[in-house]
Amino acid sequence: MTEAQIDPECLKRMRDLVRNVSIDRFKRAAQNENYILLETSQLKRDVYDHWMALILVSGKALRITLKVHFNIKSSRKMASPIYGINPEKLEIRQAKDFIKEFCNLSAGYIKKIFEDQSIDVGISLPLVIRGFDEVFFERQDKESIIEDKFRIESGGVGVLCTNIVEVFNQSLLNDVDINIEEEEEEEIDFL
Amino acid sequence: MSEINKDLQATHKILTIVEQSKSHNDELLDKLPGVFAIVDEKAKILRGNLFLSGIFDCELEEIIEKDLSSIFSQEAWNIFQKKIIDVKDSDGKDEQFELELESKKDDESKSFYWYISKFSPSKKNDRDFYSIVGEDISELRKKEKQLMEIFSSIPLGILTVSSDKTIDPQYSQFTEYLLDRKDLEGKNFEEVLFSYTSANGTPEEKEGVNNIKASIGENELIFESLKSTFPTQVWYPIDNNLDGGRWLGISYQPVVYSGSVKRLLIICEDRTKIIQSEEALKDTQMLEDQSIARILQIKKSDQNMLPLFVKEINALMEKLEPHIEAKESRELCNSLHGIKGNARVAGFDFLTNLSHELETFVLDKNKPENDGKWTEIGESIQGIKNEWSEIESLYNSLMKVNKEEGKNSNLDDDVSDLFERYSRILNAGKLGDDPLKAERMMLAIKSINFSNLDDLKDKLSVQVDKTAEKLGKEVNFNFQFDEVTVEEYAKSSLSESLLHILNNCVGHGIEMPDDREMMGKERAGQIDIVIREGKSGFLDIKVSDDGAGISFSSIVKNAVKKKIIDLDKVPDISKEELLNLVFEPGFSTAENVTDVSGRGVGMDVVAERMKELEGSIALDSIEGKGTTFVLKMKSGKKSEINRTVFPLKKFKEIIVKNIIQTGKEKNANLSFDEEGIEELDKGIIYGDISRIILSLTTYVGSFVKGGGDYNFKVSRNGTKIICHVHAKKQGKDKKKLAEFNRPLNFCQEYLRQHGGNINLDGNKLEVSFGNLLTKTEIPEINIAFEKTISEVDAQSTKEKIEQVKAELDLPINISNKPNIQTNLMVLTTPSNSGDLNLTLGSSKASIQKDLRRKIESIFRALDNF
Repeated sequence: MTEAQIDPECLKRMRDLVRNVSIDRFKRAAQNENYILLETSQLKRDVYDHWMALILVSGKALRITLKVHFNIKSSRKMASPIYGINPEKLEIRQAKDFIKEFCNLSAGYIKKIFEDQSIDVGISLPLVIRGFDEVFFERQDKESIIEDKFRIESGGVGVLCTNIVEVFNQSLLNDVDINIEEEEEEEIDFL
Repeated sequence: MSEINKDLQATHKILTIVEQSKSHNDELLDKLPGVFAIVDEKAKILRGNLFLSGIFDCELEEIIEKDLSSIFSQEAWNIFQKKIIDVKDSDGKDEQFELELESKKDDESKSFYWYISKFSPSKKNDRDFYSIVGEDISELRKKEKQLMEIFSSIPLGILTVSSDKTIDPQYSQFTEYLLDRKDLEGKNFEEVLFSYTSANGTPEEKEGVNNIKASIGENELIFESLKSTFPTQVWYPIDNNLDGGRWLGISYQPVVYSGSVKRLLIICEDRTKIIQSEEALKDTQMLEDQSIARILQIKKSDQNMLPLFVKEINALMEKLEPHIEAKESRELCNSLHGIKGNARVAGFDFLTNLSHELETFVLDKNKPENDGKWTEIGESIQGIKNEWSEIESLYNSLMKVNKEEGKNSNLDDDVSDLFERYSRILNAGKLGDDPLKAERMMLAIKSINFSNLDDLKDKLSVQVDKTAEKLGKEVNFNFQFDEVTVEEYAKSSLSESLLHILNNCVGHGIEMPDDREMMGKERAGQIDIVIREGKSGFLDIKVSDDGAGISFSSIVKNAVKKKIIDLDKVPDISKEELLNLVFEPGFSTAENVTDVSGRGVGMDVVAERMKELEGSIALDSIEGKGTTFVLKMKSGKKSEINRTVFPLKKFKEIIVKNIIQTGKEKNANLSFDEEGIEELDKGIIYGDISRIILSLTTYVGSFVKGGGDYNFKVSRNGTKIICHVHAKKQGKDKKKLAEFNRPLNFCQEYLRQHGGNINLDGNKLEVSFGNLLTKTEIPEINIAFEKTISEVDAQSTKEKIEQVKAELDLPINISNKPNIQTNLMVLTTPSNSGDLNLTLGSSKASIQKDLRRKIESIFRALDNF
């Protein structure tokens, strides 16, 4: 892959695409159209929460790392309507799986958007690891990389996302439509 | 399914497993039974565990971003923070330390053992994090405290030493008592416990102390390998302690964390009493061993000769201190040499060595003869005397046992028996009324000091055999001194002198057997010792050997070297003069000094002894042929004869009584023939009455044997008394005869001193002795009375004197008034009892000394009447 000058606008467009997908999927997961978006780009921390779910979307044009930082308490509350169980009664595994599926659906939707526009990407398995593991992610100060950091809340609970987009081939992305179509309601599919 | 999909599936599978694995590991960390945290430089917690959240009293998920410092007191946090900085500044070195932690739950401080290490998640990440593990050791400390409380009630010094080599605050109270100092906390353990050892200990002990220091903080295995070198018993000085300090028994126990010795538990006990007891036991055992060794030496020694050795060593021992007081080194060496010689022959090895060492020391010319040297000599003499005292004490005990068991008899015992025997005889004869008291007889017997030299043969043989054996030489001896008698003290000197001479003969004269063989000599050397009684009470002694002789060139060389003669004058010196140099003090030609001979002490001792005995010593030697010593010495002073005047009639009665009693003692039939006895009714005998009776009865006793039939009579022939004993039937009790054999020589001597003689002819024994005083021998005694004496009194006294005159057959003239011939005065009046009180008064008459003495004796005899 050749190193080429990346237009910051392109990076921003891709960042917005990923953010929009994240918000969209969060609303679906929380089953609530109302949400609060908090810009946290100025938040400088090594670790954001106790847990972190992550997934990778990667192709010739770009690579997207979706990282969702959460704690069980919040996750339980968000997952409670989906499972139909009181938050306190949800198992930790279920709370973790909920966020993991949220990551997976977000990545899957991004993949669909790109594939619909003939851009091949693949997605990894979603993982849930400790929030502390954020320290292992190297901060890369490259022009081809853009980081996005925001918190979405709904009903008093939420998650913090730290997404990283790295563009490899801008030309493939110039014509990408980043608007998200309204999709029909889907059942959350747990892995 | 495409290949890519297959790869993806495989990758997903692996990821799932890794995720699970990581999850488990994270859970393990969460549940770690102690603090686990990863913090940033500002101590913000990035990762914690359940234990830590418990301390914060929050959920685990809430611990992120909390400040670790909040669980510490300010003082403790300062220390903790400093440790973090130390880790940051160090090159990968971890910090491990103990620090209290305040629990928010129960406001109670807990002891934690902390491990801090650097945590760098990424090479590109320039930020450092810190991994912190805190082990709760509060329970351990509690237990330690409880143990300390227990330990404080037991008499052990118990303390722990931390990694900085200082003593921890908790130590048993007894430690302060044991070490006689307080406030041990924070003191360097080496300075407290091992300052004396580090300064004065053996190299091994010093190394042991260093190893203790080196092992703290080290791996447990290293500790175990070094532990065996740690000192386990050290001296701990204490100024005001009676013993000057204590012996500490020390044991060591490591306190191990993570395989490293973080602390050292030291347990001390007071072993002073134990060690003192052990030392005392050792000393006792040593003394017992020495005593056993001495007993064995005494037992192995020649039992017949032992009394002589003891006697001679005793005599020499008495000389030691006077020599020291007078600082007479030469004389001291002579005595030591004598002690050494006797001790060696007797087999008293330790005494031999002590004497030899001191002799060497005294003779050491490199040591100036100052007070210091004499002080040392005095101390060594005390050692010798102590050793001798031990031997003598054991000897006496053993002799007593032997005597009680009837195992042994020696010369002293024989004399003692004899003494008792005569005592019995005299008492049986009812001599209580007799002026010849039994006690006086005993004294007389005790004064008999003459004896023959038979025992000397044994002693010298033993001596020579031992000396020769030691030197690997072979020697034959020929002793010729039968019938020679000598007084005890002279015998002692003779024995000592012969000892020295024989030592020299064997040591320097006689060659080694192989050498002798090569020279055509017998393998065994020959030494002849001939002693004969010479004129005027002198003994002539000749000792000759067939050895190498004395090398004249060696004598000259040695004499010049010792500046005894000038080299220039050597041609003018005769052979005899050269040989006589051998008797100079300190002269020796021997090349090697041994404990046998060769130091030059010895031959001068011989010369000195001969001089003391009014004798002389001469030497002749032919190189290659041998050496001859010729000695002359007095056989003794002869004990003082206690002559006295005794009525003959009374004397006759005593003789008869004693002879009859002797016969009874011997179980012999001894009949008394009174023929001629009347001739002994008048007169005076002048002599040592007790010795005459002793000698006479000894001879009769030796002739008369149990079971025999004898006839005896006592008669007078001029100035002599003759005692005839005729055996009609001789007894066969030889044992009894043997009892009396030994003292016969000196009995003969006594009888001869009284003009006597002994004839033994078959069945007849005739013992005669004289010195009876006749009228012609007795000077006239002219008695006069003092003026104040009344005539009546004078008359009564005159009658008594006349009676005595007739009985004693004395030439006595009595006059009322003194005149020029008067030599005896009656100065006082007779008492009312009628006893005559005569006193030899001063007379104008000139009385010769000898005459006066005789008159005095007669006067005492008269007085007895």
